[in-house]
Amino acid sequence: MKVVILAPIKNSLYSLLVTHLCLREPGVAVSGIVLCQVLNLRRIKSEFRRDGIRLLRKVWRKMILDNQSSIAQEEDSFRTIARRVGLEFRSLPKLARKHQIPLIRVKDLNGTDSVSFLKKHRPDLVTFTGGGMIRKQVFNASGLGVFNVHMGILPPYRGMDVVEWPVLEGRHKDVGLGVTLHFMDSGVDTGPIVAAQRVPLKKGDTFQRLRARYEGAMVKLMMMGVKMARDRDLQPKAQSKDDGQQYFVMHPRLRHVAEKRLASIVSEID
Amino acid sequence: MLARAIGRDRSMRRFIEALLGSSVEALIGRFEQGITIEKHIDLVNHFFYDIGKLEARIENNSSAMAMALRSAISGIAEFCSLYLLPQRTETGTWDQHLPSSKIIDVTGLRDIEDKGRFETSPEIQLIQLICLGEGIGKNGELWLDSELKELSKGASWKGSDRQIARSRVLFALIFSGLRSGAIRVEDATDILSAVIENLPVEDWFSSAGGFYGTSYVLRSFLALRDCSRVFADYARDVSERLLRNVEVRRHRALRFRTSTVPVDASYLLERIRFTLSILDAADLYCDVRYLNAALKANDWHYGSVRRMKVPSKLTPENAVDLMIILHYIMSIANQERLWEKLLNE
Repeated sequence: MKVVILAPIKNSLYSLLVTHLCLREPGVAVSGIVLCQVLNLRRIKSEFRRDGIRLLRKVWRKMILDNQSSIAQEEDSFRTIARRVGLEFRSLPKLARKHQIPLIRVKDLNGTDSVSFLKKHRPDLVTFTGGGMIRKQVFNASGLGVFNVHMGILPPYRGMDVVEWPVLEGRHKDVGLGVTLHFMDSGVDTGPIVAAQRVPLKKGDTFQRLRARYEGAMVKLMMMGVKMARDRDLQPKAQSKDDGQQYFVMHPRLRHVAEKRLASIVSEID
Repeated sequence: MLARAIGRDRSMRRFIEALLGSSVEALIGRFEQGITIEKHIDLVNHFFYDIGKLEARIENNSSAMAMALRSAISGIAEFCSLYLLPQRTETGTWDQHLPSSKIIDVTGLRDIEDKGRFETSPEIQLIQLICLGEGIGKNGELWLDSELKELSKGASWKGSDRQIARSRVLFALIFSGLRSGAIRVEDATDILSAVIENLPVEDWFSSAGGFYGTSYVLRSFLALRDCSRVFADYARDVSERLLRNVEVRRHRALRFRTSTVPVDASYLLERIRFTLSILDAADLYCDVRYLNAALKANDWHYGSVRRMKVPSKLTPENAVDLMIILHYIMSIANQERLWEKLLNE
């Protein structure tokens, strides 16, 4: 089965891990990597519009510290999994060169370069590991479709900050916390659901620690989906519009309440 | 480039984190925090100081506009005393500038439902001010039934300037009438049913922009959402579009088609009224997502409102500035009411 990886930056640990694990998986071939250029005004504008000032934090943690911060060393984070699976490379171009995987750098994942690349390599499946919204022209050239692991439980929690929202709304028990693998479509996290994995809370958890633990679940779930696709074992379940609602970036004042509530919840864990 | 300049060495990055980590995180945290509630309350406090002076100046003015304004100020002060009074600000408590007669004794009024009755009146007074500005009810009397019949004859959101202007006043009156109980629900539902055809859901905040003055249309639908399934769906779909518009377009949200904006209108005023609509949706659907959007919208308004001054005299020319300030105060007080209701904080 041929897989193409869509990656947000050249040193994305998530993209590197998915590529590395796909290469190790029997019956799976990585037939290409589409890498989104970072220094691209359009992308910076679009990400700033979505994340606001938080984009600075992302740049600081992911690009300057390169995921080396103490939280990134948390059990099950990308960093610890990378160590566990023996990921040698820190850059997608180097990994691609070593394994002779075609790699293209694009300004926009939905641009003509990216679509032509997909049409040329004709993947059976595309895995999305970040880089912005994906449009119809990419879906149409992606074989079975485009896999995305969403950092929340679908269908109830679509959109942004869905690690924090269930805690704020007191629904962490009935809906649960965790990640969901789904096929992308033109909506926001509205595509057919393939599988979900719950991430239980632990004593001393903060949102930063919890997010670090989600990373491990994301990699596992993505690889589980790839294997299911290879084995023709996928049974995606369609979502209806009213099954859930879209959440947006949380206001700092609400985030503070969510943090307080999480602290209170985890303090009761034995 | 910067990452490259810093080097690829892991220990170097650790060193950078140890050296700068806490200060960079704190700095980003400060940027992220944006406008605090204390800053909003300080601004409200500042405005009340000037409003108090204006009120003293118009104390003996018996014009309909002065009377409506006094009444609105009184209502807003009462409302604010319930939701902003307990909060300390950097410069003390905000109420120190208000006449003592305007402060409600909150003892025994801690219940949300009890407090709810104070929410309605100031907005009705503000709408009365709008009507006076439009030449309606100049004698201090408003015959709602006849005004509604008259206005609805030539009102349309997609017609001439005059028809659009009539629509704006019509729906402000409907909203006010529904809130005060001055009009029958049946009279309002007939007029609102026609809106669903005139203004389909897709027309709200489309790429061409919204319709100036439609905040009261949405709020009327929200008030009557239990009347029929069609009304409920319409109110829900439009509210969701509004939420999306504010969250996705952020500072560039709530743009209006220029053809629907009157010459002397303030975009900011209608944006604040839409923020009040978002707060209505938060209240009626008990949905914190709407409160989240309203918190952001009020933060964005802060920069523009802070530059405004309460006029020293009451004239039709400076009424818009005063309306913006009064609506902003209402929006902050309403936000805090919902903060208490939805979050129990």
